[in-house]
Amino acid sequence: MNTAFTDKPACRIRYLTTGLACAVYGFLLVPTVIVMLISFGLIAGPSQGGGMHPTLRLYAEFLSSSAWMTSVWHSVFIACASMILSLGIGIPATYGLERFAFRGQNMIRGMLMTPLAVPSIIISLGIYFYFSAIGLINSFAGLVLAHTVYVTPYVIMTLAAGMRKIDPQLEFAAQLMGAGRQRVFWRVMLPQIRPSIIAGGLFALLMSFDEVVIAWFISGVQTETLPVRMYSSIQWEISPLIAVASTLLSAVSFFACLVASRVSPADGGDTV
Amino acid sequence: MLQSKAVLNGVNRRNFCLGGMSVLSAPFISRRSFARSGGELVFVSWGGSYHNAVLKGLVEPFMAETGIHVTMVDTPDLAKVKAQILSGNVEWDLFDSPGPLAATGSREGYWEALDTSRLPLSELSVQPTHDLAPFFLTAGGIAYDPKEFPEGRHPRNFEEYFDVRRFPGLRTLRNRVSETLEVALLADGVAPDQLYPLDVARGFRMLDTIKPSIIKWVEATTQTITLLQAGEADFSYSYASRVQTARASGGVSIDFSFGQTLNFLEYLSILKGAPHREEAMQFIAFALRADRQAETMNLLVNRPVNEKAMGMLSQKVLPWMPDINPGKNALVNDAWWAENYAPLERRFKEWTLS
Amino acid sequence: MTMAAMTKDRIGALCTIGPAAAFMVGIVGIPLFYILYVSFNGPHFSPSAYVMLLSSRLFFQSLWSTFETSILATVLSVLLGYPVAVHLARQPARRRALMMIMVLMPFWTSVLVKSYAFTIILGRRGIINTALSCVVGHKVALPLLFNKFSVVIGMANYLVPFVVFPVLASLLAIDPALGRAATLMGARPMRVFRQITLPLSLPGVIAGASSTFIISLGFFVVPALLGGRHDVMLANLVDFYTRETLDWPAAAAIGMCLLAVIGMCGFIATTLRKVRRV
Repeated sequence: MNTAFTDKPACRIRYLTTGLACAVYGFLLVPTVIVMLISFGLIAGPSQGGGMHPTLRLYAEFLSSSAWMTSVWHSVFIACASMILSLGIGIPATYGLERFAFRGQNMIRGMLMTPLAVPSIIISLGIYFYFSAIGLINSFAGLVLAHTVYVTPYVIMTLAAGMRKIDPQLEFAAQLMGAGRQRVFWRVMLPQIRPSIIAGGLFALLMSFDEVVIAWFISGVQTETLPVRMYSSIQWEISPLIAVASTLLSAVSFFACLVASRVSPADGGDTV
Repeated sequence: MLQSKAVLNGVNRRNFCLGGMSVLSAPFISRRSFARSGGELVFVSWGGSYHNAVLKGLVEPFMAETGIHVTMVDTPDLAKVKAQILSGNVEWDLFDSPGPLAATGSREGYWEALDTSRLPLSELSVQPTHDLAPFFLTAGGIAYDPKEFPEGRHPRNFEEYFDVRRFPGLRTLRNRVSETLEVALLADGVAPDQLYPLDVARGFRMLDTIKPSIIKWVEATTQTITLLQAGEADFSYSYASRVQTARASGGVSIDFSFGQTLNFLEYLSILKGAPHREEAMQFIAFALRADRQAETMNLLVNRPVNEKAMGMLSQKVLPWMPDINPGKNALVNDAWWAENYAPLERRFKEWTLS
Repeated sequence: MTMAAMTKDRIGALCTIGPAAAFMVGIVGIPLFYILYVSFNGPHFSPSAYVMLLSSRLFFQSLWSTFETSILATVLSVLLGYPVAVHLARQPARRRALMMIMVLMPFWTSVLVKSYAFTIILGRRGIINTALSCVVGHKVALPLLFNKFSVVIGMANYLVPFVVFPVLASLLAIDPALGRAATLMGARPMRVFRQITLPLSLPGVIAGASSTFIISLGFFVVPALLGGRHDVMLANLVDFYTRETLDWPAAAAIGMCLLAVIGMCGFIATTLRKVRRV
């Protein structure tokens, strides 16, 4: 076969897909980049004159705005509490699912994953009605509880992946040598899945930190979170400070993405 | 139905569920009640320049004088008031709303009775009712960018605002039926003094004609200005006060047409079961004092209800006061809205979505 | 396993999974039933909310809009995601892991950030219109924002990664020898793509498209921020009746309908996948 004959169209197709792919990468990344540029004053945002001068003015304004900062602290608090709580229920649950055999196992597993299958708007609506009825609306407790169930499936998935990777023989050996189930769990299992716990915890933290729909339904004046403030701000006033909040959220997501690519690099396997 | 019953039982037996929850949530709940016990008044008012004016003219002096902390929240919303009262979880104390909303809330029993003896009744041009304290008079009308649309190229009255052929461009209207229906009827040529009772069908027919040109049904009043500035709208239904304050902040090309305005009263009221009723009453009395009215309205650029304050207004803001002489301008009838607001509001909102 | 071990396992499972299960029942299960309960008018049973929906033009309009927008967003996401998956599949493993960040990063970026960015890019005086004005030489103000176009663009931006991942997985599962053999036997690259790559990656495309479509059906933030008021989807209608008109039974009934639609689509998608496998 004449190589020159096949190579030319092969190259053309190669260039075409590379070009298309790069355009899509651009489409995916440009929005975030633009927001960051605005936050540093490198592009003029909407309803702002001038621009093009690199400045941290918006950041200073953001940090000194009590309304924005309060919402940031609310989000941090809720995210931390949800993370702790979701790890607290997620670690034992994953252990139970992975290491015990019992009837209805798959059903239980499915049930723990419901927040993934049901759209947030439905969960939010249900929680809104229910929390209104029992007086948990507009409370930190309510937000933490709701975010905990929202992030727990992700925690369980991450932990389950970690647990499946480790060798059950080790636990078996420990048991043979007389360690009780609890001891095996604390001394043998936990140290081995520590990376998954860290990753799962970080996912929980980040997912709660930028969750908007549930918080939009059940948070109030005293409990407004950063995403809720952003949501109403984009809808209602287009303050340039949204750019700062966005950059903050993007930085957080970038962090999440690094963690994600270290934990489960889609088949790139060798980075872990 | 069986399932519903089961759920009902579950909820009735909520003590059981709550037992577990309250253990988990104890630290947050106590934290919250702690935050609320410190004499913190939640004042729902409007965003943007309005927020800043009320903050400077009223809230900060009030905090300095009484030591009561005030949290300001933007964009009063009657639906949220209803939700709070229904769920028994009242977060807001003081509500700042235009006549139709205030009067509707009054009819629905959303407000606490006021201690009117604490208000300077003899100085007020409009008397308070048992649960509503008038705050100021304001003028709604057409805002535009004079650089883009010089004299003759922008609508000056509501008839022209609805004339998309002569004045092409995107417009805004409010996302509430009051004001919007009046503007539509005035645009259709109804005489200002014969506006009420509103011809609802005629109003909606008129609104149908302008719907494609409405870029946004504005929720937060600030947007009546920011949409113009961002260039999303060419003409905007806004307020003289908002336009003047935007101009005063400098560097903004914006103007307001006094060719025709829709005037209405703004009221202060206290939510039923509000956690800080006494502080809220103190605030209302403070807000109606002549010196406070003058200072606030110098910043807010609306007509004070305290007549003594009229004499204390600065020369700069006087030309921007709503024109209260009958003529082309109309005055919103709060009593009519009290009877008709709720059903029309729903019809209107569904109409905007379809 | 002995009887004793079974019982022990069951107790162990109860102790470990119990708390998480209680959370799920208490904070997702009960609220879901509560929606059903509210949709039938709470303690005073009545199907009036559903009857109201049957005669509501607004409901059917947004039901239709939900499908239309979801289909458009799915098609666009597949069209955009496929070349990315092909491109990634061709990279050596190490490089691919690195380039994946370009897909993972947007995957993790908050939908709020993206929506805000698109209001700036697509606005009447936004980046695109300003750039076009510079090129053309006079003022251009294309209506790109607050309409179906901006909603579909915003949704696709969020959904592309959901297509890339499964398609990439199925592309990587293709034996590279197949392509090589075909080329050796004289097939042109286009033909290799059409007759080998595309059909073998189809399961990935179907998986990606169906999950994208189902996610789209429940979209709330993007249509609320980037759409006009008449581009509302069912999720926004739920919010509207909950918050703006306080008609909770109506909101709950719409929520149940949305859940039913999503459940049905999910069921169809899984059966389709099973049928293909058989």
